[in-house]
Amino acid sequence: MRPQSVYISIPLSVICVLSLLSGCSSLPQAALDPPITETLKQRITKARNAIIETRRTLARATGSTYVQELRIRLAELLSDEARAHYQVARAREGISNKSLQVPQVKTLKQQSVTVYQEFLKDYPASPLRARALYNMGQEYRELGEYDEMRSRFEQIVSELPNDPLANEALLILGGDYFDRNKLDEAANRFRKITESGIHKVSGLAHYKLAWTQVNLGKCDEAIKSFEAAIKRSHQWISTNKNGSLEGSQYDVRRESLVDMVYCYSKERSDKSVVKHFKRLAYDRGPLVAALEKLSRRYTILDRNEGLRDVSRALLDLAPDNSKRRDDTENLHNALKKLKDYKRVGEDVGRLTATFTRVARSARLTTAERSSALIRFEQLSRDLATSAQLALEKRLGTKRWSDIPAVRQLEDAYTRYLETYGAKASLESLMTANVKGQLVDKSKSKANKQGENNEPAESFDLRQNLIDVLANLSMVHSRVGRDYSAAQRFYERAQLLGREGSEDAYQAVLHFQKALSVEGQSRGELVISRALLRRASSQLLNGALPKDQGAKVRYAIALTYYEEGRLDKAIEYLTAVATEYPNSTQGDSAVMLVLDALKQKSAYDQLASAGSRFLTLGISAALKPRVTSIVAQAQQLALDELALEAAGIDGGDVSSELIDFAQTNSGSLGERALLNAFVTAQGEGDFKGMKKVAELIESGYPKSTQLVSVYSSLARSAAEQLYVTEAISGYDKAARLSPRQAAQLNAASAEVSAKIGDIDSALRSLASAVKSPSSDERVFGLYVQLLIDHRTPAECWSALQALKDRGSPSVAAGIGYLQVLRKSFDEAEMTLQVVIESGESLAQYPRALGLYALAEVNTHFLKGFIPGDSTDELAEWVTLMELAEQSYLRVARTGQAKWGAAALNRLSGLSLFTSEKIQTFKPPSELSSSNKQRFAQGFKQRSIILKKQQAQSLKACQELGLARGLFPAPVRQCLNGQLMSSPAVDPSTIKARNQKAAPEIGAADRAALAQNPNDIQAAVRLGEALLAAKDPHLARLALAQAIQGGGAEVQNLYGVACALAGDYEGAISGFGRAAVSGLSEGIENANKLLKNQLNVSNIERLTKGVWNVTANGGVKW
Amino acid sequence: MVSNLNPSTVTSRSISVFRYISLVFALLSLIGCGQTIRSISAADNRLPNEAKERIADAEDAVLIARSRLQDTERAREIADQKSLKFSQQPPNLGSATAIARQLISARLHLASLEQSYAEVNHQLSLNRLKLVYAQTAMRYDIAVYDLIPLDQSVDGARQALLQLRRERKQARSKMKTLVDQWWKAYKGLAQSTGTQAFWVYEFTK
Repeated sequence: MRPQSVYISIPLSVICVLSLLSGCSSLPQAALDPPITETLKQRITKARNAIIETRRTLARATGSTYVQELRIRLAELLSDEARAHYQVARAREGISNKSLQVPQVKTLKQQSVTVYQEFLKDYPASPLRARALYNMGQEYRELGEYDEMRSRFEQIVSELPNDPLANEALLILGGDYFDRNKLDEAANRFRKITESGIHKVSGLAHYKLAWTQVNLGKCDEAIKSFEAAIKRSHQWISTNKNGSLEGSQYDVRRESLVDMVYCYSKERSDKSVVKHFKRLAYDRGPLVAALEKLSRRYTILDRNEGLRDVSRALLDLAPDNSKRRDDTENLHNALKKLKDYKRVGEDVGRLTATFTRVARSARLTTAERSSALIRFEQLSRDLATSAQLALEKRLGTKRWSDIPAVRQLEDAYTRYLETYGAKASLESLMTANVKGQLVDKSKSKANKQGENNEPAESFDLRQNLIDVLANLSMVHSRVGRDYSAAQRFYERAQLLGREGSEDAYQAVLHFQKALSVEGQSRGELVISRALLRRASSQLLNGALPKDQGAKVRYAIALTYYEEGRLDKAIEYLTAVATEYPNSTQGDSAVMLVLDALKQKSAYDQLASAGSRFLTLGISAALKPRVTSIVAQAQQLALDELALEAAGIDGGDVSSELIDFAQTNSGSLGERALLNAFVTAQGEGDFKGMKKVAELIESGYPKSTQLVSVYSSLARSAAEQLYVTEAISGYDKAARLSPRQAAQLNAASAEVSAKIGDIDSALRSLASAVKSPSSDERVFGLYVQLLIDHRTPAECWSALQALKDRGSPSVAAGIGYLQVLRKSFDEAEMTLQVVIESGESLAQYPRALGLYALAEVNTHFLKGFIPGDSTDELAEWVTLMELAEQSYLRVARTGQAKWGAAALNRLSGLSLFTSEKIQTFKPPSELSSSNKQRFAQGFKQRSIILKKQQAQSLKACQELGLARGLFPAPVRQCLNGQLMSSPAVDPSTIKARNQKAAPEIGAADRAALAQNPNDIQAAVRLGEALLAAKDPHLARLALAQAIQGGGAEVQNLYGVACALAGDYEGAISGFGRAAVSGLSEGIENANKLLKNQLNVSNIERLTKGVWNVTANGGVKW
Repeated sequence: MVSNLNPSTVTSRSISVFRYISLVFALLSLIGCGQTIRSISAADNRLPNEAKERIADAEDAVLIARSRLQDTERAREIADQKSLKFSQQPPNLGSATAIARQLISARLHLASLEQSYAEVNHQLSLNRLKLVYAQTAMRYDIAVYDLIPLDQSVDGARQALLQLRRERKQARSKMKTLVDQWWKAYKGLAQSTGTQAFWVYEFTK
C-alpha cells in the first residue's frame, strides 16, 4: 500500500507543470509599428477635426481681428486633408507613374479654392491677400487648372509686386512658361525676380533663368546666371544663418555649379577652369561633382588641357572610388597627347598615391588588386619614361642642368620606386609575375564591333624596377647628383646580384665623387661610406679589371681614413700602395698611410712604414718626400722616447734609447745616446751615465757634445763622491776643450782640494790660470789654495807670474804678500783693484784684499808722527780711525779666517793707539784751557781704545766660543795672544791614503744625486765611509749634512775631519756641536783645542758657555 | 727568422703573464691591506693649493689610466675576434698564409700585453692615489697612516710596469719584423695569384 501523501503530491506536481507549460506556450505580443496607411489616416482625421474646429471658431469669430487668418487657415487645412487623402491613396497603390484617382482630393481642394475666393471677395485689401492668391494658385495647379493658376499668380505679381510671395509666384509662373517651352516669357518672369532685391528664391530664380538661357542657346549668359545663382544663394544663406535654406530646394549652389559645366565647356577656355570652379564652389562635394562632369565633357570634346587640369584636381580632391581609375587614365592620356611633362613628378605622384589607396581597399579581390597594380605601374612608368625621352630630345644625353623639368623627372622616378619598389606591401605581387590584361580603350573605340580585349604583355615588376633604376641613376648622374646616383646604382646592383657588377662599380665611383665634395650632411657621409663599402664588397667577389681594381680598393680604404678609423685605413691603404705602386692610387695611399700614422703619433711605425714603402717600391717623384718624412719621423720618435723618459714612470728608457741609437746611426744615433745620457743623469744612474758616455766616445768621437758629457759626468761623480771619476772626467773634458779647459781644471782642482790633495789641486789650477780664458773664479780659487796651504815665498813666486792678468783676486793675494814683505806702498797700489771691484769679488779674495789694505793703513798710521800741530794730530786720529775701519770691513765680510785675523790685529792696533795717544802733547798753539781739554780728551780716548782692544779680542774669541769657528787667529785670541805680524799660518790636512771602494754607499750616493738635501743619505754615506776608513771622503759626505743635521752630525763631521788631519775643519765641527750642547762635542772640542791646537785654557774659557744639554755623539 | 707562434700558445702565454702580474698585484695590495685609506677631496679647505693640486693630479691619473685600459680592452677584443675568424675560416693566401697567421697571433699577443700593461698602470695609479691621500693626511694632521706599505705597493706596481714595458718592447720589435715580412709576401701575392682572397676575406662576415 502506498502512502496517502504520494497520491496527493503526484497530481499536484503534474498540475503545476502543465500550468507552467501553458504559460510558456504563448509568447508575449510584439509591439509592431502601425502600417503607414494608418498613420496617414490619422492625419486625415486630425485634419478633419481641425477643419471642424476651425469652422466652429470662425462661426464665433465674426468681426474679430483674427477672422481672416482663420479663413486662410481653414482653406489650408482643407488642402492638407486633401494631401493626406492623396498620400493614403498613394501608399495603398504603391509609388508608380500612373496618376491616381482620388475624388476626395478634388472635392477638398475645390472647397479650399472656394474659401479663398470668398476671402478675396470679402477682404479685398487684406494683408493676407497675397497669401490667399498664392495658395489659390497652388490649389489650381494641383487641380490641373493651369489657366486659373496663372491668373492668380499674375494677379499677385501685378497687384502686390512687393510682397515676398510675388517672387514665389513669379518663380512658379516662370517654371510654367518653361514647361510650356515659352522660354522668353519664362525668362522674363525669372528676370523679374533676379532684378529685384535679394530674396530666398533669388538663387533659384537665377538658376532657372540660366536653364532658360541654356535652352535658348545663350550659353554665355547662362554661365553668368548660374554664377549669379551660386552667389545669391550663398549670400542669402550667409545672412540668414538661422534659416533653413541650406540644403533646401532653394539652395541651388551645387546644381548651378554642376549644370554650369555644359555651357562652360562650350563657351570658355580650358585655362584656369579648376581655379574658376574652386572659387565658385562652397564645398568639396559640389566641386567634385562639377569636376567629374567637366571631366566627362572634356573627354568627349577631346579637350586635353582641361582634361589634364580637371583630372589632376579630381585625383587631389575627390574621394576614393572607382571613378579615380578613370581619372588616372584620363590624366595619362591627356599628358601623353599634350606631351606635357613639366610636372611629371607631381603627376606620377598622383598616380602612385591613387594606386596606394586602391591597393589598400578591402573591397578588392586579389585579382583586382593585381590588375590595378599592373595598370597603375604601366601608367606611371610610361609617363616617367616619356618625360625622360622628351628631355633627352631637348637636352641631349650628356650633362643636364639642374632645371625644374629634370627635378620633376627625378621626382617621378622616385615616387615610382617608392610605391612599386616597396617590397613589404608588394611582395606577393612581385613574385606572382602576373599576366595582366590591359584594355586598350583607344583601340576598343576604333573597333566597330565593340570592345576588344587584347592580351597584354607579361608583367615583370622586378625587371621594370631594374629598368627604372637604370633610368633614374642615369638622370641623377647627368645632373651631377652623385650621391643619389650612387644610391640608385647600388640598389640596381643589389637587384641584379651577380650581373650587377657594372652598377656596383658605378655606385662606387659616384659615392667617391659625392664624398669628395663639401656640403654633405653627416648622415649622407655615413651612408655614402657604408654603401660604398658594400658596393665594393660586391665587386670584390667577382673578377675586376685591373684599372677598376685599384680604384675600388682605394675607394674602400679611403672611406675608413675619412671616418677616422685609422687602423683599418692604414691596413687597406698599405695593401693598395703595395699592390699598385707607381700609380695614382698607390701614391695617394702611401701619403695617406703616413698621414694616418702621424695622426696617431706613432712615429716609430711611421718611420718603419716609410722605409718599407721605399723598399717595396714607390714612384720616383714621391721618394724624396717619403725619405724626408721618414727622417722627421725618426727624430720625432726619439723625441717622444726622451719625453717619456722624463715622466714619472720613465722606466728603463735609457736602455731603449741605447737600442734606438744602435739601430740608427748618424746624428739620430748620437742624439739618442745624448738623450740616454741625460735620462741616466736625471735618475742619478752614474753607471748608466758612464756606459753611455763610453758609447758616445767610441761611436761619435768627434761629437761636439763630448765635452758637456764628460763635464756632466764629472759633476755627477763629484755629487756622488766618486772623486776619482770626477777628476778623470774633468780632465778628459778639459783635454777635449781648450777653450773651457781653465774652468774644467778649476772644477777638478776643487774636487782634489776637497779630499785634501792640495798638490794636485794646485797643479790643476796652475795649469788653468795659464789659459787666457781663465775667469775670476779660477783665480780666486788658486789664490785661496795658495795662501791657505803654501808658504808666502811659494805664493809669491806663483802669483808673480799672474800679476799682469788684471785679476782682483790675484791682486789681493799679491797685495797681502807685499804687506808681508813690507812693501806697503806697492801693496797700496796693488790693492786698489780690490777696492774697485767692490762686492763683485768673491768672499775670500775680498776679505784677503781688505785685510792687506788694513795692514797698509796700520803701517802708515804707525809711521806717521804728528808734529806740534792741531792739524797733524787730527790727521793722526783720522789715520787711526781709517785703520780701525779697515779691519772692521774685513770682519764684516763674514770670512772666518781673515775676519778673525782682522779682529786680532784690531785688538793689537787698539793697544798701540791707546798707548800712543797718551804720549801726545797738546799743541803749543792752543790756549791753556784748550790744552787742558786736549789732554783730557786724549786721555778719555785712550780709555776707549783700551776697551776696544778688549772688545776686539773678545769678539775674536766669540767666533770660536759662540759660533764654533776656530781658524788660527781665533785660537790665538783664545790664548789671549795678539798676532805679531799679519801673516796667518797655512792650514794642514793629511794626504788621502785610504780610498773606499766605489760600491760603498752606492744607493745613498744615487739618492744624494737625486736630492742633495737628503740629510739621511748623506749621514749614512758618511758613516759607511768612515767605517771603510776613508775619512777624507766621509767628511765631504757629512759636509752636506751639517747644515740641517744637528749636533751629532756636526760632531761626526768633526771626527771625520780630525781623522783626515783637517783640524780646522774638525774644530769647526766639534765647536758647533759644543755650542749646541752635545756632551761628546764639548769633550772632543776641548781635547782638540787643548792637545792639537795649543789652546790650553779652553776649558776655563768655555766653562759656563758650553753647557751639556744632550748626551751622545761619537768620541774622537 | 721569426718563430712560428701558435695562436693558442701565444694566448696561453699572454694569460700566464697576466696571471703572474695579477698575483703580484694581489700580494702587493694585501701589504697595504691592513689599513683603510680615506679619500680626501681636492676641494678640502683645510689644504693649501699645492696639496689640492697634488690630489687632483693623482685622481686625474686614475681616470686617464682607466680610459686607456678601456681602449686596450676593446683592442684586445677586436684582435681576439680576428684571430678566431682566422682560425675558423683561414683565407687562401697561398704562400702568404703562414706569415698572415703569424702576424695575427703576434697582434693578439701584443694586444694582450697592452691590456696587461694598461691594467698594471691603472693599478699603479690607484696605489699612487692612496699614497697621496695618506701623505696629505699625514702632512696636514688629518689622519695617521703607515706609509711604508703604501710606498712598497707603489714601487711594486712600478716594477711590474717596467717589466711589462720591456716585454711589450720586445713584442713590438717582433711585430715590426712580421709586418715587414707580411707586406713583402703580400706584394708577392699581388704579382702572382692576385689579392682577391685577401679582400674578399676582409669584407665577408
